[in-house]
Amino acid sequence: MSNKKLDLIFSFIKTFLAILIAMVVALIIIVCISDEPLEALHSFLLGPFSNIRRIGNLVENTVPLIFVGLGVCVLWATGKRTLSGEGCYYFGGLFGALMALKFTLVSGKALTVTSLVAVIIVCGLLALLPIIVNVKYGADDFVVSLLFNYVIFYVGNYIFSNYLMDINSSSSGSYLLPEDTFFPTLVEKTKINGSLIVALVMVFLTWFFLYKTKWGYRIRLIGINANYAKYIGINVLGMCLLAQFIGGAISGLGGGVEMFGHNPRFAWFSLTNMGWDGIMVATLAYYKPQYILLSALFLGYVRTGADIMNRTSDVASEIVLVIQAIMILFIGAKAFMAGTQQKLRVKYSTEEKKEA
Amino acid sequence: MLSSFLSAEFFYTIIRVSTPLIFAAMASLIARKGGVTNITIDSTMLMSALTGVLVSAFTQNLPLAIFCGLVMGVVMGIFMGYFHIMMNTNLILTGVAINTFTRGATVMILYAFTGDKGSSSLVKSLAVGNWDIPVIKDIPILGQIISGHNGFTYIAFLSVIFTWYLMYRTPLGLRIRAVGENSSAAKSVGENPAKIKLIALAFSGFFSALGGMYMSMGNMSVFITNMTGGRGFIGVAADAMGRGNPIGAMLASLLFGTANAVANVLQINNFPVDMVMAIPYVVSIAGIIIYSAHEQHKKNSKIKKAIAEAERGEAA
Repeated sequence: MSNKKLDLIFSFIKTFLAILIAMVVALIIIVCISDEPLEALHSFLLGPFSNIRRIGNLVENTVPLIFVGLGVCVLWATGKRTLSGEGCYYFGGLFGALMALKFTLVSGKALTVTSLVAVIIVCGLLALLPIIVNVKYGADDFVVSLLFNYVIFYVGNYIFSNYLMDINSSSSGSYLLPEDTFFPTLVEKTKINGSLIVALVMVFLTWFFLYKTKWGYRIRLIGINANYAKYIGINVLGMCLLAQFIGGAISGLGGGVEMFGHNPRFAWFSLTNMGWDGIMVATLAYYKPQYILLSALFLGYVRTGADIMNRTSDVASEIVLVIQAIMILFIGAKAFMAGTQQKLRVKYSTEEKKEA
Repeated sequence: MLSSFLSAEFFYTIIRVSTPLIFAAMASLIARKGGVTNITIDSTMLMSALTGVLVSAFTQNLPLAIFCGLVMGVVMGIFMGYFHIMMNTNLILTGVAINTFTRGATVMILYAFTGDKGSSSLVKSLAVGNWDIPVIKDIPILGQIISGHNGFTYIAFLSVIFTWYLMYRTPLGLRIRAVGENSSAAKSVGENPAKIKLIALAFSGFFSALGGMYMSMGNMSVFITNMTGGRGFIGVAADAMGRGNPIGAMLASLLFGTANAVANVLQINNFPVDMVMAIPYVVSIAGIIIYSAHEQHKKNSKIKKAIAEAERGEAA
């Protein structure tokens, strides 16, 4: 067995074990803190499939996770660890709502398309600042992007409260978004809509960009060895900027499509934390766009289950975050199962030698 | 409005809002000297803030609550170190995991104990009071500025001295700095870098805990979900600007505190709230950029100097 194949098998086993450990811990927590643990467990594990509306919720929860997950795949491809997805997702939603409500040159579906294009450009540009100061001055990309997200949020909230907030409505939020801009519904009685198709197309496009274009290749090369890339003449700053632009744009698009997917109003009063969830989705998929759909579906399932459990029992839905954290820790832990992997590697290579 | 910037109250506010930043900066400094950028300070603050509030609410015993909060901080620090150093997890991933964990765990624990997801206002928790400094409190203006602060605030300034002493006057500090500068070299002379990094992270967690408890048991006597609002990260920024010097980190914290205090004054004077809230973060980012640009310039000129010297040597 080749090393590559062994590595692949081990990453699957590791992921599976990480999920298993996280789920077992979650079950133990539920049993400990719930007065009716069996009912809580039932709604957590089987709730998402109990009727068509809940399956709809599952898909609805999955779609934004696909976008932010893809966003992180590209944002992190150059080895720069920025959190720009968080700010971009928020601002994408805000800017989408702003366009839908204030841009009057076009209407209907044309407005949807115009708004999303605008969102892509604006959010792509927003993601550039942290990486410029990182590459130019060596400022810490993670900390700068994290602090910058707060700036994005407060500026966004300023726009929201001054231009979009509907003070006459009892439900706090923006004015009603125009219904003729919404994506068409795909499945009756659910909120599954055209944004799912956009998400699936984006999975393909992101994979194509990273693995089938020369830019994608360069970006990944920088991620593997930035110095090598620099010495063979790749424009590192340019490629890092491109990766951040595209990653930010995808994350922003995720926020944008939310505004055209049957959300009556824009009503985000804080950062959404989707950027952090995107890291989770991407880590679970080993930063490969082709696996993002699976990992987003899994997280969407856990999240839907936790929401249902929150409503039907006494366990808070935030248990999802604990599950996520445990999974990231074990998948990220290089030492986790490294010993076994090394032993097998030695075993197979000695066997091969004997055969030879 | 100008008068409110010149009042003793304004300077009092600066010290008040800088307190958690100073703790966070010290936490960041010790960890970074040991070679780890601690991005879990914010989470640790949050966990300790909650621990302190809940223990004090259910035991009505303030010292015990503070003790438990501190233990929680140290545990969080070691937990982070365990995964980053022993399990060899990428630093950012460890940070993301622990921050995600805290975001969920604090709400879950709060909900389990109080039945509320937003704040601990349903249970009555204790707080450390404000302390007057004898003699100084009677001095006009100065007394108003530096006396009557919360107990934690004085501890924050003492912790700056403590950090300096620990880092530059104790064998442990020397070990931490050695491991941070060059882990392999330290190992070659018989040190155990992993152990020393863990100790540094434990100290880091200890100071984060103090900062967190100041927020929920000093400044206020209630825990609010996500009440730290990224102050732990501003602390990391302050430490970066302070160039690894405790006094510098303290001054940087006070600078960010000033940005906060200015924001408070502007807010009262009807400036748009959201724009004002963004000020401390903008200042923090600007601070990091200026610091990094300066560091890079210094490094580049060092390299240039070395090259020039080498060329001169060849010519001779």
